[in-house]
Amino acid sequence: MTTWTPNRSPVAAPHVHGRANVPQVMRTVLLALLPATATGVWLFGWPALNTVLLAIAGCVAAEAAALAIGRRPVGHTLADGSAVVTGLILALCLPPWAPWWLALLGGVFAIVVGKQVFGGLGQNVLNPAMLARVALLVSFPLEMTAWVAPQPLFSAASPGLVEGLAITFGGGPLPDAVSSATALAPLKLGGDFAAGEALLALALGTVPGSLGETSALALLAGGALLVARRIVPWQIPAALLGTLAVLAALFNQIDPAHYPGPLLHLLGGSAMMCAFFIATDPVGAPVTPLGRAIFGAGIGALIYVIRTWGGYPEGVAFAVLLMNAATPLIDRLVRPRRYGRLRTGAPLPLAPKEDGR
Amino acid sequence: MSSTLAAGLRRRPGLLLGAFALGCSAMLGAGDLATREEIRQRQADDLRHALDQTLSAVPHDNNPAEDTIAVEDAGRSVTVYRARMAAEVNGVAFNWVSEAGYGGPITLTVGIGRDGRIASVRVLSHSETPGLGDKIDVRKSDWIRGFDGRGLDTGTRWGVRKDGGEFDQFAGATITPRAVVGAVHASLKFFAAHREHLLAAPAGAAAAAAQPGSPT
Amino acid sequence: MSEVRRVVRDGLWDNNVVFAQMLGMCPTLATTGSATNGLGMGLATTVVLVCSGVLVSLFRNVIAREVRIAIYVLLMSTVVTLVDMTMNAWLHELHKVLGLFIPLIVVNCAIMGRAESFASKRAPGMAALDGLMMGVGFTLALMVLGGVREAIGQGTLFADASMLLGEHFAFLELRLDGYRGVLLMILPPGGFLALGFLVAARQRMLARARARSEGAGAAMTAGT
Repeated sequence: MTTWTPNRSPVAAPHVHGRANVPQVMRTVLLALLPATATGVWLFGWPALNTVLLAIAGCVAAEAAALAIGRRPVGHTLADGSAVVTGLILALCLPPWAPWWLALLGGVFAIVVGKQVFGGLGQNVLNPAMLARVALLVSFPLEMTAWVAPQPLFSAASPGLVEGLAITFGGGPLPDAVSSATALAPLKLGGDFAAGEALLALALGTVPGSLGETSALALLAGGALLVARRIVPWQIPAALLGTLAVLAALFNQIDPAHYPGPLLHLLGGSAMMCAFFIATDPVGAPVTPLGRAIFGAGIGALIYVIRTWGGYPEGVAFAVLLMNAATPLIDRLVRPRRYGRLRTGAPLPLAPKEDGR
Repeated sequence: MSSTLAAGLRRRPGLLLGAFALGCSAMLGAGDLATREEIRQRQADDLRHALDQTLSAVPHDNNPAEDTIAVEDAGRSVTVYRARMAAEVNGVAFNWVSEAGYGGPITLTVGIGRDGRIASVRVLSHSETPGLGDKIDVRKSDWIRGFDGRGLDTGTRWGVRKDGGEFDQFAGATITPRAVVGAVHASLKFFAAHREHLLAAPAGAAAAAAQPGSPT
Repeated sequence: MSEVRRVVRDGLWDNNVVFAQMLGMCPTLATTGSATNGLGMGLATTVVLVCSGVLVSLFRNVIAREVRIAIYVLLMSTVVTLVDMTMNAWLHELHKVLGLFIPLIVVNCAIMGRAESFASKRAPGMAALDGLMMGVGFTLALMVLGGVREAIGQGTLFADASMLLGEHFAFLELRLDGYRGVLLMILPPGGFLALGFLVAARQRMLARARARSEGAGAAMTAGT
């Protein structure tokens, strides 16, 4: 390891290379998503696996087609794995027993409208997976809110492989018996907020909800890996979850009957998933530490506002897209001081005052 | 227009602008004169059409749009349109605003027969989630027709199934139908509370009573 | 190319208000939830374009430069208000759908643009033709946009066309049974998406045509 020492003057090459490249980062992200994916498939059975595979297939196929139409190298770009990551993140946000066309269409929409029309990886303004999630939620509210109770793989109630294919490809709405409400439903519907044991279920993930977002612990494990490997900056998840928790605690203090406490907000819905895997997408996030903290806090606050007073039950996707749009502004606001210049861009005064040290 | 006049106007832009403003105003005035009566007629037709739909199950030979009465109830003023058959009030129609649905209050047009049973309910305006809550719209689903013929005395359990009532909620949306069922129930209670007043007023008095209420 | 042909081509394709000039985005995006609405809005705008073009052209020698914009605005708002009242009186059903947007025609930059750049310099006949062609081009663009959004969004084409055009045109109304529709396309974001992809398709066509003509030109140069 070469240690970096601060320099007063620019240095000529060779520079220290960080050795990180896109395929490697994407592989690590996939690894970090594995616990949540495995838990989701375990809890919701074979149809969930179908959903994951279809969303990824939709993304990869759309990426290949878009590259081919734009006459750009297909194999090289596909191999970076970014389409697979987008597909997996999208799948984890979908209802586990989603019909086949929902996952496929979402994948295609994410890549074509969310990414390739902007010019491919790194050019997109908005998070592709969240864009697809919002498009699907707005277009197919019924399918997108058809939650099933978890029925662990190989348990009696869990659909078999063939039955699973029938659920995914058969079409038709879910029978009323299996559909159920998510942990966040009381926010809108009224009723009791999760009690002590329910919060444990939220942590483990044995509740109805999106495919890979129910288990807070599995997401936390993957998120910890990403933060430890420095692939995601810690400021975003910390600011996001912190803001959400503080707001929830504040309103819970004011009126516990109407506003649930911070634990339900942190563990329920997509907050965990968002904090570690969605908001941290480097493409749509600010580049400075302070900017990232503002970005995370903004998402946390918007999630709380939309969940509590908005028209949709879960605000994560909208919050991320709105803050994505605000990213250029944040970057402008917290632009670091250039060396030798004041923050305003003017040169430093020639004789700086003694600072007393 | 003589060329000297044109040249004169060109040199005085203020006068020119004034001339054009005058000309345009004249055209607008003429247009208004030509269309005013037709537009008034069409708007009256709109109201009449809406009321006829609401009161289609109530036999009537008058124009309910012209037989209105304003009723004060719990701080709000409700304009009630009355359908008559041979001077006898056979049914009434009025707009009723619900408690908040998922996307805000829902405005209904409720028609109630003399017997206190629902003649028809239609949604006038709402901002419920498209594809989920908008099944209350008769163009999307027949759900709203389920109220027809029901009243406070028909043994109806007023509520959605989830609350122990007898009206279906929609897959993925309970709040919207709950708000509509509640509003219809409330409008029936409103009718029951003011029944005497609404049905008794004679046609002559109704015309007088309509005056303060009609401009709203 | 004769001037008449030039004007026709400009309005319909080369200089199309929506796809080339990208003007009048407010009515374009707001009223194209269905092909019928697009058609109605387009026709109303065409009437305004022709009338305002003729009026501006008639008075082009009287209108002083200093106050011309104010006078154009006066003339256009008068025409728009007259169209609004006329539709309210005799096309009442359509007015209920488009009523909100008709007053917005007055802020459609395309109308001011044609007045300033064309009608104020040409004879009334030419100005009328230009207004008509720009209007027809606008109408076609709105109809295509509305048709795409309607077809993807709810699986119909020209729904309620008979309301606008009379019962004889009921045959236009198509419906794809069993198709649920992608609601997004009917909602405002769908307008932006559909417009973006249509403009991209047009650009691709133009690029192809250019490449072909350049290729042909190069081949000819090489041959001689």
